[in-house]
Order: sequence, then structure tokens, then C-alpha cells
Amino acid sequence: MLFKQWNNFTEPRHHLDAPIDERDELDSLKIEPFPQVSLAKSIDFSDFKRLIIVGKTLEPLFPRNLVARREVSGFKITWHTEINESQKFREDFQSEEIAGSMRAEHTLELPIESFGQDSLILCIHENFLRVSPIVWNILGFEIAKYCSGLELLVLGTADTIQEIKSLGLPAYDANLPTLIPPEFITSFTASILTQLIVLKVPFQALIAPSEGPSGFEKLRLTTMDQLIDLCWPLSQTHARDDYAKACHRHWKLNGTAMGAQAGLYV
Amino acid sequence: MTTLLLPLVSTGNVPQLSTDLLLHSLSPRFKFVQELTSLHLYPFVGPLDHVPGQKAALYDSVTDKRYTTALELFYDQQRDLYVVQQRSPVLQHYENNFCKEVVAPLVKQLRVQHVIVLDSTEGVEEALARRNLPDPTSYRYSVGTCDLSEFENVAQEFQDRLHIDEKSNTSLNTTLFRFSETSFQNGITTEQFVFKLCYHLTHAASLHAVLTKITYVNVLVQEGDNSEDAAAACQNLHRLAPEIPSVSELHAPASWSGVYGVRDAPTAFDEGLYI
Repeated sequence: MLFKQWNNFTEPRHHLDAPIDERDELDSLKIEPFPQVSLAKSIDFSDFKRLIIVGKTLEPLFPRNLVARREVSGFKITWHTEINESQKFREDFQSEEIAGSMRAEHTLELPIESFGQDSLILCIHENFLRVSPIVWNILGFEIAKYCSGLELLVLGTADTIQEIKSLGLPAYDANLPTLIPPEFITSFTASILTQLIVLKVPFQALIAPSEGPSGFEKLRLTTMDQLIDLCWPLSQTHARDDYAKACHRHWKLNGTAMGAQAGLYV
Repeated sequence: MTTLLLPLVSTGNVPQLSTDLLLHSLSPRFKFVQELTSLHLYPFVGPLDHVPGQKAALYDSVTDKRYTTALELFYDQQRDLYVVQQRSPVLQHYENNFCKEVVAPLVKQLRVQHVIVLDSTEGVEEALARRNLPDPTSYRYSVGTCDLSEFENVAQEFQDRLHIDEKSNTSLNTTLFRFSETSFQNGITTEQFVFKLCYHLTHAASLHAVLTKITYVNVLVQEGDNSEDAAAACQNLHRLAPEIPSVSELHAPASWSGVYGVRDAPTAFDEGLYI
């Protein structure tokens, strides 16, 4: 029996450059334009009390069947990349070598949804293969600009911590530990928090331990159970048992449960 | 003379580690000033760093600071020396933006007269390597100076001094910096970050009356655990650039405990696996 290797190219963990942009102009002195961020439609943020920014990994904590989410606006982000076609497919396909590069425009739409009495939720679907961190940095800057009057709560993950960490001034939950060296945070969570810190916008954050590349992390059962306890009051749902059951179901459907799919973690 | 030390993210992170040692070993004299714009850098948020067993002395002057970001500014009043600590690399393709939109305005705002750039490398282009050193193994540092006060028309002088070698695949420049006799290199390439930085610093019209000198310090290192390279570089900085204070006793911050992992490097090899 012949087993076909499905992918010759493996992205090393220390590889930082987004593989979407393959320009070789190392000695260019040109200034690069920033991604453009705009609101899909105007929204009066003063009608709301709180904005929860959550990564895809933790989105199951706000299950759609229990938490009625209604789209009220959205962030639209546009940016350009240049793709070298001959490198685009790497060794996956024996495609023809195509000389030259191709300019591509990318658009990302992130809906802002309202739920409960006074809360907004912004879910961020991170994908390090397609979206450069500059997009999240600029989005963080715009959030700090537009939403500084709201209570901001960031729910993120990190593979450099061992337990759930509570950040903010004051911290989201004083009973939880905060970061201690050498722990640190990266990915979209750090992008947003950095802009909030630099622009002196008050925030609170919960960071959960996870494993895997940014946007494709997996969570342990114990972490998920702890998060369910912490986030139940935020969800503004009534029956805790129903909430926990819905969270577990969506966590597994979301593909972020450790051991559910990979076969490596059992 | 107001001086700014700028460590580049480069081989083995030696400039960052050396800056860590400088700041934390001399924490009574260095004080945190402000966070700088981190839009152009890979995102990073961490706790306040400190020497193990001590409080975060660098941040004594600010009461509400709880987290560090990717780019921060510190100041030594005694020597009128500003030090930037950069904890993550500049994003791909945004190096020029970083130089023009972050470093140049900072130099202008602080009225910096002398910028010291700290870099590290595994080796230099063959055409740039000095061959007549008495003992090449003992020379691990290159120091080049670019005296802008000699320039009458900075932008024109910059163009004239480029003298890029078109025969080589990589564009080389041997005239922008005047390297010392003991340096292991005699020029830079136009692909290097320091070239972009010099270009943007010399082309910012608002800096012509302020900035007089750029010093480039390069350390020869190898990939791996570079903590000892950083310690050596930190102790040699004062000799290479007298504006930097000398450090007699080195103190590494707590964040170093996670730099190279928690386990010892594997030494045994069994059935194709390191154990």
C-alpha cells in the first residue's frame, strides 16, 4: 500500500513571516500602507455597557442557541499582499513555475453582535496563514479609539501559560493569578491589549492556557470547565446546567477540544 | 550629548539580551519613561520584568503600570542616555515604516544627537569581511561611525556615499560607516535594517539640525543559547561606545528563565529520537 504524504511543507514554530506575502525585496526603502479599518455601519456605542472581544477558540462560551446574538455592525478590514505564484503552492503540487508576483486584495469582515441587555461581542477568527498580525494591531488601535467608553473584556488564549490568568486594572477576577515572568502573551490578544495599554484605555482580560498555532488552539477539559464558571455571569443566561451543556457541545463542534479530533491527544 | 541606544532584533537576540542586562544591572539609574507605538511589531504583552528576588525597580517611577509591551523607552539622567527595549521583531515589510514613523519622530522628540545601533550577526558577506586582522578569532565586535556633522547636504551626501557595488548580488556599501581598525567588517549591505534606519534618519528633514552621529555596533555570535554572548557584549559596550555606562555586576531578569526552555538540551540519541 502506498501512503501519499499529504504535505511536504511544515511550518516551523519559530517561523514568523506570514506565508501569504512572498516578496523578496529585502532592500526596499518603500513605506508600506497600513490595512484600512472601517465600521460597516455607524453604531452608537454609548447604548451599550460592555464589549467582549473573544477569539474563535473561546467563542463556544457564548453558544448561539442560548445567547441570542444580533448583528448590529462590524469592522471591515482591507489590506493588500503580493503573492509569488511559484511559491504559493510550495511542494504540495507540481504546479508550473509562474514568474512574477501578483497583487491581491484581502477583506475581512468581523461582525459586532449585541446580546443580553447591554453587551456587545466581537469574535475574532485568527488565521496566521492568511492574516498578518498587522491587521490585528490596527484593529486593536481602532477598538481603543472607538470603544474606549465601554467596559472592555478580552478573552484570549496563550500557549506560554499553565493556568487561567486574570489581567486588567482592576483584574477581572482577583482570585485568579496574573502574569509572572517569564510568561507572556502573543497573537491577537496581545495586539489588542498592547493598543489598550499604550493608549491608556481601561480593560480586563482572561487568558486561558492552550496548545497549538494561533487561531487553531485546543483547550483542555479542565480549562473549559473553569472558563464556563467564569463566563456564565457574562452570558446572561439563566440555567447554569443548560449553559454548561451548550458550551461543551459547541466546544467539541468548534474543533477546539483537545483529544476530540487529532488522535494525538487522548 | 543626548544619546539613544537602539537594539535591533537580530541573531540570537543578543542586542535585546544585552539591553536587558544593562537595564536590570543598573536599575537604580535607569527609569521607565513610556511605551512606544508597537503597531509595526509582532504583538507582545508580558508582566513587569525584574531581577529574581527583587521588585520591578525599573518601573518605580510609574504607579499604574502593570504590563510591558513590545517597545519601551528608558532613561539614564546621569548620562543623558535613552535606551529602547524592543521585545519582538518588526513585522515583515514594515521595517521602513518603523524607522520613519517611530524611530525618526522619537529622535526628534527627545532631541537625540547620537544614535547607537546595537546589532548581531552570524557572519558578514565575504566581500565585507576584513582579512588582515592580526587574530580574527579575538575580534568579535565591529564599530562603525557615521558622522553627520560632516555632511552639508545630508540627503545628497547619503546618495554619494552609497557607492553600491553593482557587481555583487547583494548591494554592499563601504562608505556610509567608517569602521574601526579592529572591526571584523568594513561595510554593510543595503538589505540590513541599519541601512534602512540610516536612510530614514538622514532623510527626515526635521532631524538635520539635531542628529549629528550614528554609531553601529555589531557583535559576532552563533545561533543557540546566547546568554554568554550577551553578557560579554554588555560588558564591552562601554569600551565600544563610551556613552554607555560600564556594568561591573550583571543581573539577568526573571524573564530569561523561559528563553531557552525548562529542560536541558537532549544529549542522547535513540532510534532516531533525541532523549
